[in-house]
Amino acid sequence: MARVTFRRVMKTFGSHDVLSPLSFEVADGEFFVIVGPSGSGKSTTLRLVAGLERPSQGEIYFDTERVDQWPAHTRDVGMVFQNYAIYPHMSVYSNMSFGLEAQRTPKHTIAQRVQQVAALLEIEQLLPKRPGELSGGQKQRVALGRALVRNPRVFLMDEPLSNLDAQLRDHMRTEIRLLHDRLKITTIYVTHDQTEAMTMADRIMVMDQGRIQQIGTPAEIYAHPSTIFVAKFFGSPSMNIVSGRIAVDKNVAWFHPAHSPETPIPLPTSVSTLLPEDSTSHTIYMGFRPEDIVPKPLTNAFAFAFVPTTIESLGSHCQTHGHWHHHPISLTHRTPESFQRHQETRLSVPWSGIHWFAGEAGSRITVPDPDDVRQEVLTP
Amino acid sequence: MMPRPVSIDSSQPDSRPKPHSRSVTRQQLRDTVWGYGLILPSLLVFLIFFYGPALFLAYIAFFHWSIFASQSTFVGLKNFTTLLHQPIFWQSLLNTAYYVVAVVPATTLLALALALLLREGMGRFGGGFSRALIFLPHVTPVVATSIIWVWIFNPQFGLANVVLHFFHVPPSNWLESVHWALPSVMIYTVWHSVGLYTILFLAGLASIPRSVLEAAATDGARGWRVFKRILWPLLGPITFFVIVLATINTMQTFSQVYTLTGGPHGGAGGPAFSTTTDSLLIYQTAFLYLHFSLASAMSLILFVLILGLTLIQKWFADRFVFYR
Repeated sequence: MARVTFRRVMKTFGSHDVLSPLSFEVADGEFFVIVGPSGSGKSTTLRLVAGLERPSQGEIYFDTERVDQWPAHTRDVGMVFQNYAIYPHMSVYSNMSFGLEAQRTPKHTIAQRVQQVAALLEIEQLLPKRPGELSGGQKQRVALGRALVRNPRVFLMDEPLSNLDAQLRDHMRTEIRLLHDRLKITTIYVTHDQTEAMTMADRIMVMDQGRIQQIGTPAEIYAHPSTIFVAKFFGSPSMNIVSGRIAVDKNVAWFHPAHSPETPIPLPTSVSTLLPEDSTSHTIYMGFRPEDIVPKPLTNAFAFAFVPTTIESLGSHCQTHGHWHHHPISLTHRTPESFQRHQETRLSVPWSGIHWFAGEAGSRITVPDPDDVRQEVLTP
Repeated sequence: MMPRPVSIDSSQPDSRPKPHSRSVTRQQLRDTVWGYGLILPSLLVFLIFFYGPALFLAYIAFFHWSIFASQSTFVGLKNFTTLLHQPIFWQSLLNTAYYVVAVVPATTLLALALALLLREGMGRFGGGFSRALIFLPHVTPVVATSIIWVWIFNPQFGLANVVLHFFHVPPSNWLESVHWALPSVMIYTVWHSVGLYTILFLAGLASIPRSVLEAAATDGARGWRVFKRILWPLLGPITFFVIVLATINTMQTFSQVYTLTGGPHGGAGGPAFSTTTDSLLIYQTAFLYLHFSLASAMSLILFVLILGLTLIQKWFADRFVFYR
């Protein structure tokens, strides 16, 4: 087991930067999920850890050992590939023993280890079988077993569940996480699925276009997304984003939404004082999650006119889509009878549920929790 | 046994109107005629120039047949027994066997080695240029390139002896030596055919999923272990194909034997018949001595030998080759 450290690691293919300098650290025994859309560089990052790619610049450490120039076969990592990459001509047993044989492990130890891991994954009865006889889920377990059997320093998984059907995927998700809790092997898990990231990770690293967008616990990332990209990536339906400008009139800051500048929204001083000085000269983005919208007018909250167009009942709750002056808005709520289609209602969002973003990258403007704000105001 | 109750439903298909099913047959007939019509041109070429002569050959192998005589007489197996009493026939079989046993493994192993060197991701060797270079000899006509090799093997002025001299090895008479004439032809054949088999092996290597090799690398395996446990077993089908193809090709080798050691006058096939292979003997018997029946009998024997060898190879392949 090991701590994995990236220091300003870059990767270029030809003249194309796949990874901008990346620096991050995965703690010993941590379950670290790298999530992002396709082309975000998450798989490349994983392959750099495995040694299947070499960085163009920068350093990679396992604990205190610098490994970035080590070839893959010396790194002692276990990897689960998206398509499982099981050796098609070998029995399940040979698939699992192959790595141990390469390490010149004594024969009886190999048999012991394979049996042990096969028991752990409940695939003992599959050991004599050929991969051709296995189902997708069984192949997945064999791929896990093959990577685990050597007790690697780092366990790497590249979208391991994406080839399974939905039900099996949910099941394996839980099982992989339980397995990690038992074995405590440092795990780096790559996925494009926000649910997998949220449910499995100790910490998540969100990537987009070869850059780290945010690193944090699932709760942190959901509650305090550092960019619009992260904000929209997690949560379903995704966060509503409204762009606009701030203007100050009669000592009150007003938010003029870009889609209807003629209906500005006054900002309470608790919010406006915390926005940076230059907010008036830039586009500002206001974000709020569908579940933070309250389907009735509230006092001391951000309120707007909403016309629902589709109401989807999911049993436990409803998802309603509509628009605020032709700007699309989604919200989730409990009772389906709250809305009439095409009938304007007023919605509100408590100021504490509003996220503010600015700049080209859509970075978060840190607005502390209203509770903290109140305390600051009270203490002179 | 209880008779099964006959339901009304089960009798229904029989009560279908007949004309309907006949019209399906007509459609099928039209398809069949159309299909055969499409393959007719190539079928005709095959029948006239391949199957026809092959059947005729099998026929005259059991007759005393001459292009000059209007009548042929059935002689049973006499042509075959005559052959068995000819030392030159046995020598040609031995020469062919020597040639096949040397050329097939040499070409296969060399092609495999080259393919491993030239495969994707092998740095500067892995380019299309090196592949083209290796494949090039195969597309050149044997008659044309063997002239160059006649010069290479020339004992006085040839390149081969220059190379030997450079390594302080005594010169050889190559094509003019009883011991070296056939090996010289073998060297030429390997040079001429290795490109084809290299390309086949390259295709085989390309069909192995990259992730399987990456899995082997992360499993800590490298070099010989990866070759022995992953590449070699997964290349099985291609290796089998290459061996079968090389065996058939070498057993039928004629052109280079003729041009390198036969000479334009239909010469003997090397000093002391040392390069007289089956094909050369068949050619000489038929077109030099005009014993067509004997030559046909020989061709039939060669055909049976090739078929037998291929069946044995297939038997091995079915047991030891892994097919995905």
